[in-house]
Amino acid sequence: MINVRELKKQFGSQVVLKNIELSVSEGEIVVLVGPSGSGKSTLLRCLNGLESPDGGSITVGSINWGAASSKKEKKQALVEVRSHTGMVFQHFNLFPHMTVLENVIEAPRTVKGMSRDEAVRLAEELLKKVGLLDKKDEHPSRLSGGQQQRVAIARALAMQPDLMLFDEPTSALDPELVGEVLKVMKSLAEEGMTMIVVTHEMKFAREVADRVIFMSDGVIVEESDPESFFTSPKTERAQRFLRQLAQEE
Amino acid sequence: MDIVISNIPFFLKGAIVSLQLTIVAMFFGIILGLGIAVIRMKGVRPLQWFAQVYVSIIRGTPILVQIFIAYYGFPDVGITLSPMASAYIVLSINVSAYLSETFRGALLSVPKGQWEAASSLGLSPWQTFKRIILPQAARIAIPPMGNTFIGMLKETSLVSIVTVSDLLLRAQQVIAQYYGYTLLIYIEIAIMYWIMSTFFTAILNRVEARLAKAY
Ligand SMILES: Nc1ncnc2c1ncn2[C@@H]1O[C@H](COP(=O)(O)OP(=O)(O)OP(=O)(O)O)[C@@H](O)[C@H]1O
Ligand SMILES: [Mg+2]
Repeated sequence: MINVRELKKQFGSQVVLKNIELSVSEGEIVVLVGPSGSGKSTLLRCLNGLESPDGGSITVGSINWGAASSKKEKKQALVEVRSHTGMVFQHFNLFPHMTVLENVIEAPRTVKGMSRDEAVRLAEELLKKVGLLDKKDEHPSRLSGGQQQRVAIARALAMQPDLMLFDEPTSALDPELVGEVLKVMKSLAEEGMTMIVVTHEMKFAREVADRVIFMSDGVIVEESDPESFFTSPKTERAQRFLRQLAQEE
Repeated sequence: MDIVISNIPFFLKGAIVSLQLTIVAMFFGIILGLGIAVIRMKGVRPLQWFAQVYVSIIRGTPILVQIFIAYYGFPDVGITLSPMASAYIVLSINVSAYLSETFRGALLSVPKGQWEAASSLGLSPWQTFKRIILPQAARIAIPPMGNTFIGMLKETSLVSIVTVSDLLLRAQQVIAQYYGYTLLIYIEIAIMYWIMSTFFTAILNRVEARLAKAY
């Protein structure tokens, strides 16, 4: 479903992604880990065009673009890819001037031109799924971080994506609120959603991921099933990373 | 004293002219100012540069000089404007330069994450601007816009110099007719300006209070 070939990205003279090769099949759950600054967010953001690649190409479903695409081709590809891809951010980024329900119906209404009734029906169903139907008329500022992140997930799902990208969805949350978000993500995984998740929640990775990818300094250093990654990482860098992580906890 | 009272309707008409100048200048100033703010942030280089020079010149020169240029100066190049037209144009342009700074600050204060979230949902840049960014920026811009409005209400008095029949010019006309009323009449119109400012300040305070507690 996703095919990334020789992806390169640099900011100024700093090369952030070096020749990334990545394939993800439909329904697969990939967890992306690695030290801060290794390029995890940048890779995720390239996949839905929030960053534009300096080299290589990206295929998502039947949509293909890359560094060689013209501006117009790229624009066309991004319109399509974004309508099939949901993204969840570390800091939720809900629209503060809208209620929870308005947040969720915004994209279906504006982008897909869905009727209000239909969008509301869909939104209510999704809010029920994330357990927040009773908050639909609140503004985001009235919700806890965990609740906000669940709304953000519902908002992304409202575009009925085939692929969900999560960039550290629980790192900004108080520890006691992490569980409720992971639970929603887990149920999404069980429904067969294709997901790429940047997270340091090792328990989640072990239980849910089909594959763990370890990045460092803009390259994919190691990838394997979660069990072998966490119990017997092959590379020295991954070992060091896991030791550090264990120390922090 | 009866002169003070009998001229109230005459002065009220002048106050309406002042108010009308302010409202029209605000209206065009908002549209123009928003355009300039967007150009300064997103426009191509030469346009950005042009917008910056525009703002710098307008803000760096006295409004009275701008009025003189429009009313007395432009006829030299074949553009003859009525006093009212030159007042409208100069005040609108003047307001736009100040408001563009307000808008730029307000637009920049909306977090980048809002753009990213909206784009990732598939909203186009224009949809994102209109539906996500602008409403949040407007909230931030409303209090300073209110202050610009009240400031402009007072600055409109400058246009009396080019014979726009506003509150101040009418006061001067009445003073020229009657001997010994100068102080009283000026105080009278000062009170009228003050009442208008206070009235709009009160409205603005209520709007600000409401903005502070929403969302
Ligand atoms: N817009 C940008 N402009 C300049 N440099 C950037 C930009 N975005 C990211 N970088 C740099 O690229 C590198 C990789 O950043 P990225 O955010 O992808 O890392 P990350 O693996 O997600 O790290 P973290 O775990 O801290 O989120 C970092 O050195 C960062 O400073
Ligand atoms: Mg990151």
